Amino acid sequence: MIKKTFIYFSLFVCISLCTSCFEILEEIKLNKDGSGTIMVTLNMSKSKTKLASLMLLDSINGYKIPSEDEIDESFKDALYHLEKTPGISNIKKTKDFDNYVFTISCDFKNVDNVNAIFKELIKKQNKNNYTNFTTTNVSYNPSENVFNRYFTYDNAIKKSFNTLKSEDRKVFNDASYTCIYRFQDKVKSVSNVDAKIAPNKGAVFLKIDALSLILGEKNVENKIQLIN
Amino acid sequence: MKKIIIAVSALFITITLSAQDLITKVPSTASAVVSIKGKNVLQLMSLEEFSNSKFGSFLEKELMDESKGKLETLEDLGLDYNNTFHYFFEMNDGVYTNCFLIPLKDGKAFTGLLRNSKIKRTITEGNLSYIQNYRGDEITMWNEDVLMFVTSSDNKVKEESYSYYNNYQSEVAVEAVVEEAVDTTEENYYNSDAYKKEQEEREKKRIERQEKREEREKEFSQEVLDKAKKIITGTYANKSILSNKSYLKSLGKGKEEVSVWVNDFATIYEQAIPSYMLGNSFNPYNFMNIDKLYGGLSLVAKLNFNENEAVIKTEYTMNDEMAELYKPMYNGKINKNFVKYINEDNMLGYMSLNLSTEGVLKAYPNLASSLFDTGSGETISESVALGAKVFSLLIDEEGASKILRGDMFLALTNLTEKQVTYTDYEYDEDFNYKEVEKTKTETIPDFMFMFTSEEQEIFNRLVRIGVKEKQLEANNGVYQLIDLPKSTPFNIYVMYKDNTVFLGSSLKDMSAIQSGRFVSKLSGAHKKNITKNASSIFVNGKKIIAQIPVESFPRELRNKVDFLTSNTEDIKFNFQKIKGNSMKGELIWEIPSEGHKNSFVYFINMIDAMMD
Repeated sequence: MIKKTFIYFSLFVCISLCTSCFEILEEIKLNKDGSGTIMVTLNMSKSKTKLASLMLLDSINGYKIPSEDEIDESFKDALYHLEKTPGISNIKKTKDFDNYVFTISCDFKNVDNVNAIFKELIKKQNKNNYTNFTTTNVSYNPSENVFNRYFTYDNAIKKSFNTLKSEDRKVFNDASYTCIYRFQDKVKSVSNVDAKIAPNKGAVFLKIDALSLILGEKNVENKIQLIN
Repeated sequence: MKKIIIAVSALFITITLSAQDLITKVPSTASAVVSIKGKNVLQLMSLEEFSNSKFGSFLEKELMDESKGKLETLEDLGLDYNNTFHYFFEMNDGVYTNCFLIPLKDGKAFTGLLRNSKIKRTITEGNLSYIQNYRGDEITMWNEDVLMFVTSSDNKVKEESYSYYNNYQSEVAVEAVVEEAVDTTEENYYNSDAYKKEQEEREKKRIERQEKREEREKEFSQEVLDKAKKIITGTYANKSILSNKSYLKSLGKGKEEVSVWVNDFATIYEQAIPSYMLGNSFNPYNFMNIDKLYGGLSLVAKLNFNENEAVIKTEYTMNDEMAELYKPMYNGKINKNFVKYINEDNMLGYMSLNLSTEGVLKAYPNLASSLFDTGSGETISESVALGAKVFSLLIDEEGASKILRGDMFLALTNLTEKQVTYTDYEYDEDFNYKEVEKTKTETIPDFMFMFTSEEQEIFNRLVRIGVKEKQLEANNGVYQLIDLPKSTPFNIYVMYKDNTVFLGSSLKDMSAIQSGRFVSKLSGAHKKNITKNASSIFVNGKKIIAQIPVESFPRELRNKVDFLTSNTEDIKFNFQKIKGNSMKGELIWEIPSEGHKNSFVYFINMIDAMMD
């Protein structure tokens, strides 16, 4: 018990000294017929020293630290949920507990299948917390050749963020959210001022720091007009 | 002899206390008293100096806003800053009273703070004015010399609600039975006579309960008012707290700025357990002898702002029986080797613990038996006593103490910068990306943990198994733990030397100790703290702050790092072995030798710097 206290003490010093941040990468490859591939990556490798110290503890700052097994279980739940969603196939996952990089990717028949993945979850969130998040995240209109990424900012995000202790908020200081969309047609225009179009016009890139997203200063909403 | 000393000190205190010292208003039945000695604080920093500080100006600005410009300075507030401010807590017959006593120089000035609505609600009786809130449990009362806030809470009211819950439970049970018997559709049931009658009954009971509660609230409101008047006039049949021996003993020389005295934990615990719990299975008094554990236990804490340091001294006093039980636990022998393996030039802090495993193992069964010995012959107390006896017979206290004697030491040595890799992405112009490995620097502390064990044979066996199972890797008598998670921020090594097991993160230090090349350096003061106390903690504030990279600080503190580095000194905590019936502790916060008149001014300067 006492030995544990001493070791916890050292780990605690590590946790307070080591930096923490993460990156979320969302990549969608869209085919002309509206089908495509989506891949979401959570990269926490910049925080791996801190995470490794955290994982040796049971809880910190009142939050329970999940074990590798528990993270594995959540992963399985997510995959099961994907398997159940119509139009979703070729589900792949990678998890790297040494570097704390996790990815899930899948093919979809139609962008609506992507919306269906999160629909129930968002509905539940809106109902329980009186928020107003859109349940349609992406859409593709083949006749006008327009791809839309939707996002409605809700003050609840800022409110939840403000309830965090300043120490916990630090996690978001260097965190970022990156979206990459690839198309078979050329991109004509994008509506999001922070988005960049590749010189070959085949892809759109948007990287936003997490704090701007949380505070509602920037967002991932984008209307991408493709050339017919 | 003891009685004479107490009588003489009581006399001395009564003479030295100024006639206006508000302590005479604290009843002898108070369970806790906190006092702030204005005079001592003003000697450290005058009111004018304080007003000139940023913190002081901020408070004055708040005061001006609050009083709509009527009061401009802290002086205008009319408080007698030279006198002593008191807080006390009392529990009596299920009623808790919290009371703040603030000395006044000018009673009228305080009223400047009151808003019109409050002035309208003020009742004046002779030289006494007061405002009582609507619920009646809070009173602000003042006269020319004293301002007083009283808040009370009535446990009896809470009990009423608990009994309401019981009644409700039985009502619901009745309802369930009725429902079953009637066996009609839901609509019919709600129109049935049985239901209406039941509702009438329920409503009648509700009104009765409400009337009873309102009556009690009215009664309680009057009780609180009577109590407040009694406190402010200080007329007690049982005399003031100055007739309480334990309190008198705690007073000492009175040079501290703040003192805390908590008396008789047993009574506090007993009163804190609501009476509705008495007699039911939750009540610990049914199977535990709380009196034995906490009876006669008191706590005194004193805060002193000295010239070079701020010190908090605490003293727990326990009853004879508990002192006898605890003593052997803290009566450990410290391993003199610990101090040989520290070099204070590289030391950021340490924590030592000096327990006696043998003492603990022998004392625990006795402690358990005595705690559960309610004298009632209940099965639980008999079982605990039997369990304790069996434990004592099975455990070889002496043998166990050979494996782990109970003395241990943790030192945090240098913070080292370690290169760690992470995965990042590189994008080409078409935003195709590839994973790349980058490196960054993290600051990791090195640590060394030591404990005494005479059983080298057990250590050797464990190491042999570890090496064979590829969990340990040998390196000239130092063994590295192999199977740690890959991203664990430090390597861990173990070794055994001179009756001591070492566990640490620095191969360099461990190898040096193993080969006898370790250069130790430790001041006499540290050696004394480590070897003489039951526990000792040291934090080298200056060194830690200087070594932490600026970017590791919270953003808002980054531009204050220079100030923190030049103004942070050592922090020490020592917890002495039990002497007589008391355990003494001491927390020392050292301040830099230059730049601050004394430690109180230091803290105000610190607040000022952080307010920038």
